[in-house]
Amino acid sequence: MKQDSHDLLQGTLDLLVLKALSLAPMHGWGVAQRLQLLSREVLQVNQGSLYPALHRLERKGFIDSEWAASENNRRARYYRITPKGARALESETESWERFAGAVARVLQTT
Amino acid sequence: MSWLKTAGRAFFFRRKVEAELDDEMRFHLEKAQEELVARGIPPGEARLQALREFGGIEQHKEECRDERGISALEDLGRDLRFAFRSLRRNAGFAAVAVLSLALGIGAATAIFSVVHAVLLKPLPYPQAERLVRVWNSWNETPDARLSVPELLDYRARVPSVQLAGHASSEAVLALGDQRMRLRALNVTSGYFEVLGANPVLGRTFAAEEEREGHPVTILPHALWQKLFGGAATAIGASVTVDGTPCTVVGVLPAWFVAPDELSGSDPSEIFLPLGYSPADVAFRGSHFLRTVGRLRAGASVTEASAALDAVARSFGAAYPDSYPERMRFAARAVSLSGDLTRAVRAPLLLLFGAVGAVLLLVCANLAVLLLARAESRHSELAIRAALGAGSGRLVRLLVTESLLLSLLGGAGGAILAALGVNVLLSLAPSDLPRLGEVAVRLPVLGFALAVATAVGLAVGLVPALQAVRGGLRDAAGRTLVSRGRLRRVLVVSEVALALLLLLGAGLLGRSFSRLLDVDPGFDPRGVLSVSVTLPEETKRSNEEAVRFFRDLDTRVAALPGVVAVGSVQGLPLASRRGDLNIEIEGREQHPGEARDHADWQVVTPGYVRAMGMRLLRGRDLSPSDDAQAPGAVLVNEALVRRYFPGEDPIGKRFTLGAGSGPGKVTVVGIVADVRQASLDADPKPEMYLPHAQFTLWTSKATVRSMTLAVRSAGNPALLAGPIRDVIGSLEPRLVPGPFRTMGEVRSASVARPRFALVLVGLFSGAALVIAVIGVYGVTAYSVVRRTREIGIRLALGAVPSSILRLVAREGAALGACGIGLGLLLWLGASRALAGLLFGVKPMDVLTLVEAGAVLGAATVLAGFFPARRATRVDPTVAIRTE
Repeated sequence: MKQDSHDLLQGTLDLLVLKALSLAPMHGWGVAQRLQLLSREVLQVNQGSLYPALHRLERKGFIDSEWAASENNRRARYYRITPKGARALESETESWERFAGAVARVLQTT
Repeated sequence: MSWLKTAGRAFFFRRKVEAELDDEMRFHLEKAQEELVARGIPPGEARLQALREFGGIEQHKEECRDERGISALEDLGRDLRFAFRSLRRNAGFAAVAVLSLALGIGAATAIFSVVHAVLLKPLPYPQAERLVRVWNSWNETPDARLSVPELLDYRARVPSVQLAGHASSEAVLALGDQRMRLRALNVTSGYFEVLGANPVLGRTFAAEEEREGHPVTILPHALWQKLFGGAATAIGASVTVDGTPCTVVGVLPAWFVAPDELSGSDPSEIFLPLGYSPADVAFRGSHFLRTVGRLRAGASVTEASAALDAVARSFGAAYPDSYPERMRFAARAVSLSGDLTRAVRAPLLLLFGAVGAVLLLVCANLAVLLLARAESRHSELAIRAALGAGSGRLVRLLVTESLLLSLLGGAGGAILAALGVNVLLSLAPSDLPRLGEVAVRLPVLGFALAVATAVGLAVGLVPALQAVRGGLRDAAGRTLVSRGRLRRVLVVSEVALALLLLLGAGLLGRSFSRLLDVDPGFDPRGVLSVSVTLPEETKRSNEEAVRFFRDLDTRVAALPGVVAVGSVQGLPLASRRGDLNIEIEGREQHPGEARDHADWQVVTPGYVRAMGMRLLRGRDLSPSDDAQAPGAVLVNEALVRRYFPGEDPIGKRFTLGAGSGPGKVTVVGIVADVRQASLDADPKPEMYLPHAQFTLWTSKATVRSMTLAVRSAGNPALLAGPIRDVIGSLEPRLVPGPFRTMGEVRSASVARPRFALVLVGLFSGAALVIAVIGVYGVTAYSVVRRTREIGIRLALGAVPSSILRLVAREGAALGACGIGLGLLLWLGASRALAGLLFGVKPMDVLTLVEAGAVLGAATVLAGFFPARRATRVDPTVAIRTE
């Protein structure tokens, strides 16, 4: 199951991570928590595969990162969305909505 | 840019980046664990659950590294380091692989360097592809030179080719007190224009200067430097050529070498106008001109050839006496580069084929070694795959290793090629055109690298793909069967290729020894030769010239240690002779039949004895056969066979046809056939005329250029100094040619077959070694694989000798299959060799049996050692392995 959702959502995962980071800068664990919360536990992300996604987005320049102290004063890597990432999120969101709408229309056809 | 930043960071701060990746993931796991503990799950279980939810840490790390983008470069570094380490651990394997690759690539590159310079590289002239050479042909003479009127006709009537003629001679050049003997090229006007050589100083020969009476000369660049120190005042200066003052009118560019001198190591020649007379223009039968031609824009060789041939065929109607119909006179144009390399093309391509076979062998062997190695790493690869290495990574790992091997081999090969080219040059026959241009050059090195890389990729990829596919899917190793088969096929091909090379070497060797066994018709031991040309400037009459050579013989004969002395016009094994028509007394000439003819030699009386020729019947020529005596002639066996079969030729008389002398001669003796042109050319009918009786064959100038042959009781080379003194005392203006013993002359005449033999011999030796390594490798590997089976057999009571047979049979079977396949291939390949063999057929049974036996014995031996090791297997240990 996990394997399937991982494959299916490979592209979508990037979008979700960007969305989560657009709300506030946070570390990997935070992103995982946020995704689970926002999707009301529907999206069970394989937590480990979050990190390749984060590194991929950083390489593309959509996010950047720095090490900072976390809540209980431990060092953690914080990711922040860049202006370029914000623009990408916007256009990706749009096309996702178009896509989702189209799929929905097809499925609703009786 | 950000990619560069991440990648740069990842590359230069690899340790730091790795540490950060660790930290990041540890932080995540700790948070997850805390969270679960907070929900009331016991710490130990919380940790496990956190790990489960995270998934494979190492796999995710690897994915992160891949995402960072640099890992390809980084992996390459790691793969290289790893490959080095693993090769160092298997030093024996690596050494065999690198060495055999270096040998194969080095030999291929060296041979390719020669092939490139001699056959592939365009001739060193502008638009060299448009250069042609024109040959006449008739009956049995496929490549005949042109006479002056023919050249003039072709030039006037075939507009598609710009044509120039040339002949060569020798000349003594004098300037101040310097005297040197040079080759002289006598050229028509247009010669330098055809070859695209614009003089750096002065001009080329004008159109009218090609006729007689124009004492002008053009100097090559090097000679200009030597004589005039590169001064522009050379133009208009006077040099003396054969006693005639000549004005220097031009200096050629430094790059220019005449096409026929491209094979010469020392292109020191001068250029003189051809200088033909009205009589030359009138006489159509004197064919002595070589040609160079340039196709005009748009014309093809075929068109030019057809146009020339049409003109040639029209001669018969206009000059029926000079071109009787039965002569079938024709002409054609051929590409100049093809013409220059015609004789060496076949042997060079043979060598290229042989070295290609060696390279194939090396590749096959490397594949065998790598396949065996990949199999023994089966479990290692499976573990790597389980630890998260993608199949791409695994393939890359294995390919890196084999690429590293081939690049090391390629580097070694380049070094060997550089050394090898020098060895080749020292072995190569001096008549190989353009040898001076042979060098390991960039395209050649590129060739070596391309070969090395292609070998590495091809050889690395196959076992890598097999190992990966088999390693991941089939831990039980069922694919080993098919891989074993591939390896056996490779080894069988190796043996087959080795057989081809052994057969080639064996046949060339047998052919060469037949060649050396050929009786040259004279005894070369203890004979020294030197060419002696009377300079024209001495203005000796014919009688004086005769007296000069007679005096020379007498004076040299008086030197201590000299047994016999004589002179000859054309030294055997070093020159070709022309023929004269003969009319045998009492025989009718039938019109429409080819006339009787024989090659002619001019000798002084002592020559037959000095050269050690065998007088079979009759008497030798003697000093009393002089201008006053009746014409005397010695004939060879071939002439007797052709014209006097079943008759006694002694006392028979015939008339010499060519010149204008009265020319009636009587056969006084028969000598054994002498090989004149080369050892492998059948002797032609030949006659020996006394130098003193020149009036028999010419009304003009007699022969003034002879080669002195001196038979010595001791070391002939020691006579060179005294002979030079004698010549100097007789004629101080005469510069003798180089001194050569007849042993050297004979050896030089077989330089080309020796060259082919030595190289093919070396290649076949290498091939034998490589094939043996292959058979050994396969058998040894199969012993390791079957250790357990052998152990069980031994435990069940098998005697060691039966085990020995079991294993040795495998090697023998491989050898037998290879030999069978090789023999089949030989049926097709042997034809390529046929033209290069002398006195032995490509299907020579003895050679086939010998080569098969040598190879068979070698493969059996290669299988024997692993087999003996198999009999020493300890059953208790063997059964426990695996």
